Amino acid sequence: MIYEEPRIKGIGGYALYIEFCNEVSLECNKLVHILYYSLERAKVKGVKELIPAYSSLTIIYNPRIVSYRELTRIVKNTWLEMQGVDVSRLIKPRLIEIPVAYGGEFGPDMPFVVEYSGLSEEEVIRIHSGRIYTCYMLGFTPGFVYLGDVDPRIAVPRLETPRLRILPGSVGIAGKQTGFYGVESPGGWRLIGRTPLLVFNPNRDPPSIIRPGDRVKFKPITAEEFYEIRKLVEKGEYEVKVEVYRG
Amino acid sequence: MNIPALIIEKPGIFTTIQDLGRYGYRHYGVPVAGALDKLSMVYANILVGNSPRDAVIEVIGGGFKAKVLSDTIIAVTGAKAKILVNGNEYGSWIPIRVSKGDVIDIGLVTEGFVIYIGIYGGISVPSVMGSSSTYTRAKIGGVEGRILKPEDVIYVNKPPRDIDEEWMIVEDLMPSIDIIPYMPKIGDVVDVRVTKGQHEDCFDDESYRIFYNSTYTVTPQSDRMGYRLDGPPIKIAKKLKGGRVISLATPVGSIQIPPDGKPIILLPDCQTTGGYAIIAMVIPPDIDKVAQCRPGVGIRFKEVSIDEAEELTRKYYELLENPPIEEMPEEKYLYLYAC
Repeated sequence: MIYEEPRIKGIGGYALYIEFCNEVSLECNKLVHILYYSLERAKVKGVKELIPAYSSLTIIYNPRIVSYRELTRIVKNTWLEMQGVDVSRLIKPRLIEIPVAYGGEFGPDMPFVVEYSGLSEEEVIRIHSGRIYTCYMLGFTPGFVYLGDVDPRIAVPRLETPRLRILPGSVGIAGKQTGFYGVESPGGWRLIGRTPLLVFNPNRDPPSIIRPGDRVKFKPITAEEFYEIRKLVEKGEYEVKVEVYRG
Repeated sequence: MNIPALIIEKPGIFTTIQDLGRYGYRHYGVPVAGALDKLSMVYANILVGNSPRDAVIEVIGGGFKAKVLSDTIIAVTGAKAKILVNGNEYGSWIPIRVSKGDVIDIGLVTEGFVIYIGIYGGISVPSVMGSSSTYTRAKIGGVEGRILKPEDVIYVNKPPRDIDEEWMIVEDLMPSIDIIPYMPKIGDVVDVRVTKGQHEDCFDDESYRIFYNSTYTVTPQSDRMGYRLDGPPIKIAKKLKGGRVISLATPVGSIQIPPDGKPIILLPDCQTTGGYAIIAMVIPPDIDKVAQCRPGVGIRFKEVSIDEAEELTRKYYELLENPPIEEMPEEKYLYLYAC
């Protein structure tokens, strides 16, 4: 359920928690991004960080500069101003193409997805790469991108026992979500492929290719293409395909 | 400039380079990291003439040994442990002058949990996203993104131009007596101030009664991500799917209640988002206090209002920015150097 008004709460003397709904939906997540980008643009004094999630936005602030009372007022006013504004102009989502080598060594859980769905591997790839996804949020580990929503036909459950080591760039599915790992880490998503792109690089600013609210499209590539692109990426010669999204 | 200052002989079990933390990247999933006990960390810098923001060595649990590679000034703050330089005992929270070839040997902690070592000039490591802090889980920052190991050389940004002159400036410095934080021992109980958390609605009066009236003990399953506590379990009253909430940002200090009901206090290396219900949040000055609670120390939560939390946080941030120091009185000086 999406609330009529976002619920705002001061926490700990240095954080403001704003909740928009009690569900995971693109409709609600869009509201999070509207407020996130408008506050980011407003450069509110004393705001140190804005952290968007599925159904909420958290503001980290410096109480020496702004109080939670003032900040609550600013948030409410910004929210009101946003009503009736053409959101697409504010957010300007980008559409980013992520090349993915599916199956085989790149996607060890592809056989499971094929079996679970009763589809062929080609169909799974076609379905997974046939949609434009929205980035709900980043979190869990540096550069981990949560995307949705996945076609119900390939919405497979998580692993029962998480893997201890997953390579960066691995693309997985967990229920109605898909996404990829930014750094090597443990994890429980079903891996169906891997991108040769350095989706997260701590020495780049910004470190992540994807921002919250961006649109993502996967492009199937072969194993050969994976290694070719990888080489270009390592030499810094690969240009990520980014365009303005007109949905 | 990169000046070798120390070579590690024995790092301790979890020793890293830390500063005040990496801010502005949590929306990309990057944890803030940074010193667990920021007040102690800031004084390790101030006492050697550095900026409060410089990087220092953080030693969890103590047990650190290193050889000095160039004449410099160090300060050891935070938890209590025996500090020896070439076998001579020194006090903590004061500047110590060391010379090339000296051996610094810090014992295991006796009170408190985390030790900071500041070195003149500030520790030099490549800055990653604007910070020197080590986040080992993603191999970011510090020395190759990892804990220190024997043979590691610690570099500083600049050497003392004239060590005698620099020493004269800092030699009598110490924090105002009332600033030095209390360092708890096993069996002690520390009061930690909190406000209600994001999921206040998920807990009923009975859950909060248990939360505020019980003493929780820090368990050995604790690290820079969070301290896991043992004590009376807390029931999540509202029906949640698998005991989980929709993933939300988890700021440092959040107290999560996982399905087993045992609270977890999130610390600087915590994940940026999480799906456990947050019952309360530790206010920033008391995160330092929590950090110094080694396994076996008790914690009791005390609720404050948001207004009080803001006021206490304001004062704390002022303290971090401008840590008060004073000249050491003579009797204190004699006491510290008595051995």
